[in-house]
Amino acid sequence: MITPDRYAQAVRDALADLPARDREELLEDLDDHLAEVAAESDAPLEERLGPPEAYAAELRAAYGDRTVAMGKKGRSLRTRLAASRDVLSRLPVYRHAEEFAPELRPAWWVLRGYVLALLLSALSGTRHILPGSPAEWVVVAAFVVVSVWLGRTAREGRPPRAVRAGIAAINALVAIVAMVVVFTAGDWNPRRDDLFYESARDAPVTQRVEMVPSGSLGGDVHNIFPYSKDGRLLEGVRLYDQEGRPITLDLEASDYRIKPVCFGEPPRTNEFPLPLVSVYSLDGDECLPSGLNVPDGVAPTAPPAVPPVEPPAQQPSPGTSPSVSPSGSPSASGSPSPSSSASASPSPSPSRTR
Amino acid sequence: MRTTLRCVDGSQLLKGVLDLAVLAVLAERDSYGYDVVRRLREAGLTEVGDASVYGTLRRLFRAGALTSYVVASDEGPHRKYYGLNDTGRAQLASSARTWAAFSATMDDLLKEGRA
Repeated sequence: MITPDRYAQAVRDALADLPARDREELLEDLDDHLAEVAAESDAPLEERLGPPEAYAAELRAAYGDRTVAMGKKGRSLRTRLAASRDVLSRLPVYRHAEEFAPELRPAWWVLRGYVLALLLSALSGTRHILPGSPAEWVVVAAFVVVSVWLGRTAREGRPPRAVRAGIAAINALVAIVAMVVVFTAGDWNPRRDDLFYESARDAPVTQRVEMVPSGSLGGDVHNIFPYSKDGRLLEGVRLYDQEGRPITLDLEASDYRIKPVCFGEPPRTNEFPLPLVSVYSLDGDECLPSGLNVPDGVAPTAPPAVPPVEPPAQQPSPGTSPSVSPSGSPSASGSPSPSSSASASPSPSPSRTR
Repeated sequence: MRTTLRCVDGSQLLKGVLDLAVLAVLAERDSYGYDVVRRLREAGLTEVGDASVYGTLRRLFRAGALTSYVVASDEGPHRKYYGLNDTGRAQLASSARTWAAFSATMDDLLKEGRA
């Protein structure tokens, strides 16, 4: 028959893992208590209280969830992961993937070595997806071999914790690098300017519109007057940039807007000179008969377009373009010469308030 | 994942209210460990475990709800008596209110189930 002392000692041993202070507090008068219990009856303690280990477990539970809870906390992340894996494994897709994934391992090992080798060469300055020189091919092959060897040994036996952590870190790095390469690979495709140009020719007015901020051309440019070499004002000149996008001016900041067309399509915003009308003008509601972009009334609103005209008048003398020999005389015939329009213009600048 | 249908188990219920039961016994009069066990059993909580009571007493004492003093006896071992202090009485009062509300709710639930 077990004595109260031995029973108490067995309980103490079973609670040896408790912090010393807790254990002392809990077991302070266990001996007295057990002596009391033993004195109550002749039946052996083990019969009345159960085995010391069970008694200890009950004590531990009753004394406080603190010690039990601490043990649980350490496991909680792992248990939670296991629980979410339980949930996932009920999905057939996950089960199939889980069965299939191990077969992809060798491929992953090869990819890992490859990416690591290229990462190394990228750090040394050369950045490309395929190894450039035979030396680089050798390095890549070496990395692949090491990676595969590492993968095989890790699968055979369990490597030490530190090694496993290192491999996990490298795997994460490789996965990130591989993703970055995949997502930036699109930049290496040939440029598509030609395609844009084709589509722009089919439909000259596309959504892609090149806006020229009026300040960027110097001063506030809100209209363009194209002149031919012989000093003739060109009308209906449609401007496009190198990618076939219509060039328009940003009229927001100016005091002008394009005069609407009465019938049919809205006026083209890249057909110069623009039929502008001052936003303050009283007859702003008037519209243009369609098909006629520049009526006489609007041309004068053009700000002094004199500068572009002066060069054509003087140009014939330098021999830059011999083909324009009959210059000067035709311009005088009937077309509105810029100089005359400038004189007729009531110079819109005073009307500006901003 | 398995779910088990758990029958109401006296020992499970007891775990939740053992603190309250021990406080109630000590509110009546101060007692030593084994006396508390005996009185609880006499009151009808026959399943109460010795270790559970002892552990609960120690925990309540650590938590500052009990006072304790040792009474020497000639024929037997020393006995450590426990009694309620103000903290213990406050805890008893609030736990008793919680229990009353809880048991009333359960009574109502069971009545509705029968009707």
